[in-house]
Amino acid sequence: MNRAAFQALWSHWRRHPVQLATLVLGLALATALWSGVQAINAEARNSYDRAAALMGQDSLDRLEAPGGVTPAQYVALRRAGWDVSPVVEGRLATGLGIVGVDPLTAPPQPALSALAGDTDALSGFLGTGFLLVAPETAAQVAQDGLPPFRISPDVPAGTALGDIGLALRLLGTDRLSHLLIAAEQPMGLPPLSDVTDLRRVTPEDTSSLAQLTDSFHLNLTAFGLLSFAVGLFIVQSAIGLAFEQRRGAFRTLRALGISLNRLMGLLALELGAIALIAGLAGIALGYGIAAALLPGVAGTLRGLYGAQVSGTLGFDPLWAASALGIALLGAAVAGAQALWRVAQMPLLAPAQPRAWAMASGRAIRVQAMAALGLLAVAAVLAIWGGSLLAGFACLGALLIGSALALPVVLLWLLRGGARLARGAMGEWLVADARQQVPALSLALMALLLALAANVGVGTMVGSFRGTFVGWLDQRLASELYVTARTEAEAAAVRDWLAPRSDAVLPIWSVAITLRGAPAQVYGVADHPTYRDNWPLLSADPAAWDRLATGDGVLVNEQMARRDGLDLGDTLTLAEGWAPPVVGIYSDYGNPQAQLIAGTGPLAARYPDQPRLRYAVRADPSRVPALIDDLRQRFDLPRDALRDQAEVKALSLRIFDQTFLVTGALNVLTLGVAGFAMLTSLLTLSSLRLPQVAPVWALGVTPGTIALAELARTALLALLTWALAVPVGLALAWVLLAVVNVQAFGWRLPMMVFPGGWLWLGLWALLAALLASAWPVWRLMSMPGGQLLRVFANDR
Amino acid sequence: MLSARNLFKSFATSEGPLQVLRGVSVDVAAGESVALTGESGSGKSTLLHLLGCLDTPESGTITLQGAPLHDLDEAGRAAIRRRHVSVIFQQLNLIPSLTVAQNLAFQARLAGVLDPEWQDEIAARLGLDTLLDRYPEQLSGGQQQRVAIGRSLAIRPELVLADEPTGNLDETTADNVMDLLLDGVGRSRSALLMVTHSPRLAARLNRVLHLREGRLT
Amino acid sequence: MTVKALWATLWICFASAAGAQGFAGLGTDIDGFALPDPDTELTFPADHDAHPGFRIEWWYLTANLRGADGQDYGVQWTLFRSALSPGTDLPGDGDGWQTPQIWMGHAAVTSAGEHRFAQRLARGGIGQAGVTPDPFEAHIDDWVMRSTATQGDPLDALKLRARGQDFAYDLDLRAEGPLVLQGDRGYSVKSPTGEASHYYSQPFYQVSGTLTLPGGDVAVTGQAWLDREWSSQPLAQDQEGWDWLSLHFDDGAKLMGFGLRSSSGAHFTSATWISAAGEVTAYGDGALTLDPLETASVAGREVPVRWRVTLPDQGLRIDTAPLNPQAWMGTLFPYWEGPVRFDGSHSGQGYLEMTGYE
Repeated sequence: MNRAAFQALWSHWRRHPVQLATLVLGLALATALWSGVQAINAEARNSYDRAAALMGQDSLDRLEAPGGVTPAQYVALRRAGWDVSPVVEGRLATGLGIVGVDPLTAPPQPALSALAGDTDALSGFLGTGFLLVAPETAAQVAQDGLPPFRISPDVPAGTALGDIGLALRLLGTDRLSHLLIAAEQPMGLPPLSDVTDLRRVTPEDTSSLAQLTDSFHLNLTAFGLLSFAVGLFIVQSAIGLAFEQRRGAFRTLRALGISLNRLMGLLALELGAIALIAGLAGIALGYGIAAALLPGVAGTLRGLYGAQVSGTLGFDPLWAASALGIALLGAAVAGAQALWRVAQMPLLAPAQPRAWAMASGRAIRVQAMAALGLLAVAAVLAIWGGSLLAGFACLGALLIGSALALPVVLLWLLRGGARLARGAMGEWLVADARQQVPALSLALMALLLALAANVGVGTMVGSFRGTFVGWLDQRLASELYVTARTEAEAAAVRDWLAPRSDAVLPIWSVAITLRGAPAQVYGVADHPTYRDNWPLLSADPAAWDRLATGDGVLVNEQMARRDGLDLGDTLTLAEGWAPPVVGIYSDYGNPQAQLIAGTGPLAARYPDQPRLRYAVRADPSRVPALIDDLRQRFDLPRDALRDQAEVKALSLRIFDQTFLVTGALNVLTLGVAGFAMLTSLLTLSSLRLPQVAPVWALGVTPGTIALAELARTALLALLTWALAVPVGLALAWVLLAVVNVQAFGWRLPMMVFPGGWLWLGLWALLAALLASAWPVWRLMSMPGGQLLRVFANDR
Repeated sequence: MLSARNLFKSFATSEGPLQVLRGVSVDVAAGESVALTGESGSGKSTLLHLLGCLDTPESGTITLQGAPLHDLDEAGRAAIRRRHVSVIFQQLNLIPSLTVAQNLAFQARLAGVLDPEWQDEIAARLGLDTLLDRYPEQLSGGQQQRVAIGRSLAIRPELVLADEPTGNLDETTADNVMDLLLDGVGRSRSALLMVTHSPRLAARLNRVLHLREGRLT
Repeated sequence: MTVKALWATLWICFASAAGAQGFAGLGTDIDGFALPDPDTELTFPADHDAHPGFRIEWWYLTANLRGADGQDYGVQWTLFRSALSPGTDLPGDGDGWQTPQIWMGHAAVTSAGEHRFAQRLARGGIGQAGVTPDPFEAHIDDWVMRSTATQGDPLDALKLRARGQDFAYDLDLRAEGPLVLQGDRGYSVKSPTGEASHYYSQPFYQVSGTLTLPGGDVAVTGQAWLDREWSSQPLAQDQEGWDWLSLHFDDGAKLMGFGLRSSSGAHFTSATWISAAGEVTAYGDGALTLDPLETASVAGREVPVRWRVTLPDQGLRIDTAPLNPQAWMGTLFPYWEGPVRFDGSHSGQGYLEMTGYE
């Protein structure tokens, strides 16, 4: 009996393959976007954990000092009995991260497991030396002309791990970054403060990188959730349609003696089977999406936070299982309403599907109140919320509130519009639009969210880019940048350039540890290039003079915000040198703390730092010739010489790469919203016969009706778009003024791009028309008899 | 006024073509009321659809005031429906998203022949004055059919075609609706061709035609 | 784990037996390291210093002590040196962090009920570990063996310190006899095929000092024995490990004896009889016999903890018994090292070391 009944139910799908495809595709899309984002997040977190766990940085206390730890300080601690282990961290000019460890004293760590049981590897690691790198970093290391390397998947991407001796040599320093303090120490040691001046620092509970990037991943998760919700709209409407169309079959089956419970069971089974298939498709699709997006995400994370994330995706069975679970859960959520309706259906209910329902005044009022309440919450959070979480809660309240408000506002607008409508057809068009709002509201909400996200994120990225370009123009004041290979060459280049240019300004930096985090101190010459161009957010009037004398230092906005620094606060940059902050400058896109000191005072404290880079001021028209001459004279490699335009182009390319993922997700979300619209309209189209047939019977041609149908969808899409723009702008404001400040440490001025909104409006229109074209075509290409049959009671 | 000659019509079914009309000829004079009766499947509705320009015959001719209808294209047939011939079905005559008032005026406005006085008169005669702001789904079956009658008369059509307009109604309501329909077509000086299987209703019209196996008898 | 693996392969002479292949590396080629030479005359204090041209070297001290609490204790202090490459002639600079010299310290305090040990690893070149000849000091981190002698040989008086997580000790040692050259004037043969090391000892220390244990400080006195040995290839390819004894007889005489176990069955033994006055009689292969009497389950393996030791030429026939059968050094390369007592034809105390038990 089950078999026969199931076949009867299943035959529906055989006759409506498009409906089945819609259902499967909708669920697969929802699952794919959600689980794809999860996979990306998991991969990134994995990378952070690997980075944090490297050298026990996630758990062990450390000793550090401004300017680094000397080997003598390290040995003094060891000779006092303290079990500490040295670490040096740094970055080569090529961007490759270098971590040096002492395997003899280091705490146990998986990153060195590549050495296990291999005599040659071990003695090689300690002796002549080689680097351990993650597989994806191998190409970078090979290109850099570094020592030989071996693959260790436990080393974080973008980093090379080597013996401390080798690392110090590569980094050209004799200072250790910090000492790790083993958790277990010998008994009876003298207090640490008697043995060393180094400062003991306890690491944050969790990896600082993970904290820093949390907001980004929350962002991704929000996008994933949004897509999932939008996908469920599709599923819901497809299931709803299928159930409505089978009311007759349900009634017949029950009349034939299938109990309600059995019928529900069969329907749940059917839904489960479909969800399983869709889930599997979703896993494949999600993996594809994640794999395609991951390099972009990795680029974003590197650009924004300096976080190294592996660009290749592993396949985790647990992830696949959870994706399947999400698909089943989604199908259950989307199908619950339909199943409930079947359960409530009286045995002798009319089999005629209800095409539409007037939105009851009460329901609309409740929804309006809820929307207003949420928007009020969003406003309160935006103004008084002081944390990242509050920022995201604000975003959530804003988006959900706006979505809930959409049908209410649309109905209100259409009621007003009805008065403006001219002619019988116009009146009908608006009136019918109003009546479609409840049925289409989920799809329209999805469209609103997608459009608002587009406007919001677009405004944010656009504002960021605009600010960034302006800032680059100011900051890249020099016409040419030269990097020499050795100090001697640097001196020769400088001497050669001096008479041939307006100024040769050294660019050099010292890596120090400041307030428990790595910081880079740049030495800049006292020159109008900086005085006139460097964008300062707030500054002492004599900032540049004080910089030159060593009585001041500039800090970047990130550091100032993170450490709560203000003008006048002092920072210990070296033993016996603690200048006050005399200015704060904007430093977009840099995850690290950065400081600027006068080159003279800095050189006095760090005399051994090599100075290999120079900024050259010269007439821009002479720069190409200078580059040629320099290259020939000093045989400099290609990348040793960069002109301003090249640096700008490079910076912008990195910037654009940074927001590639956002763009991709935007398009995907809009696509899914369009698809939701299509399925909703498809659902409606077959139920719309009774509404269209009388109009046709009264003498309106099918062509006119089709145009009216298209116009109605366009009207709804355009109204939704018009409402999405202010929502998107509010979203952008929250992103820029609340989330950005909390997450990145800098605030950006908001710039609006109305041209972009118009384009988006066109896209929304196009999506809506595309989504409605097929249903309308289906409706209109029906044989006339189909319309006539609506009325027929006899032939 | 309306003249149909030798109409043939068949429908495709899974068992091959089903011949519904097999050479039907019918004439309706101006202002005349004609009942069309016959058993289920005898082709009553099909004939009505052909005469109402809702469908096209396979062969045969239809003329209205001497003008041929059978070879009109979709737009031409729509124009006839809009302006000259009104149809009242058994159910679902009304546009669900429009109010009673809008439904009453819809066809007249489409045709561009809206006459407010006539409109008011129809509403008053049909007792719809108090229902003008309601939506169809808020009306009873009899009320819905009264609105449908009002709407069909609003263009003062040459011919009103009615397909069992009271088929879904109880007898008392049906009689009442019938009264209003006959009164209405009288006032608008329209002819009426009504499909019914009720001899009692058929007897109230000028003439009764009987359709049997696709032929008039 | 990794460091352990690193050491297990670097410090091959102590590594667990690797079957017929022998201890990886040492039985094979020499990589340019200096070889022990029977004609080398050991000179002091110069030879107390490190010999970086050789692959491995150690300063190995064991002490049998009696505490003021009436309990017996054993103390071990060992500094090993292992070179990745001979000398300091690495590419670049052998000094500083990139030295080829790797150092390892082992320390232990053994009582009848508890065996406590610790290990330290360090590279040379930066001052964290190493040996200085004048004044003599061998150290790794804060573990030191420092000469306190004001005259005579620097090793005549020593300060000895080490600590682990659950113990520390601070001992003063005074030699009451001369340095003893093992084997043929300090050239000690380790196999029938001639592998050898340079080897001398100072077995005549009297010790006093303090053990710091979780329960409190314990004043101790007793005897100690220092071994100095360096080589580049001390084991033959088929040798699996050794059993080594340093014994103090109640009458003041000493015995150093070892047996190298071979996978081919033929064990190689060697012994040095040292009279109370410091006169040395060296015995080649076969004179000494070592026979296990009883095994104990130690760290998941069977280890012979009681031995019958005979040296017929000296009328010696004794049975040893460990103070603590569980004196297992669970270090990078694990081995058994602990104090023993013995009786039979002679009685006294000493130290037993056993390596290569899987």
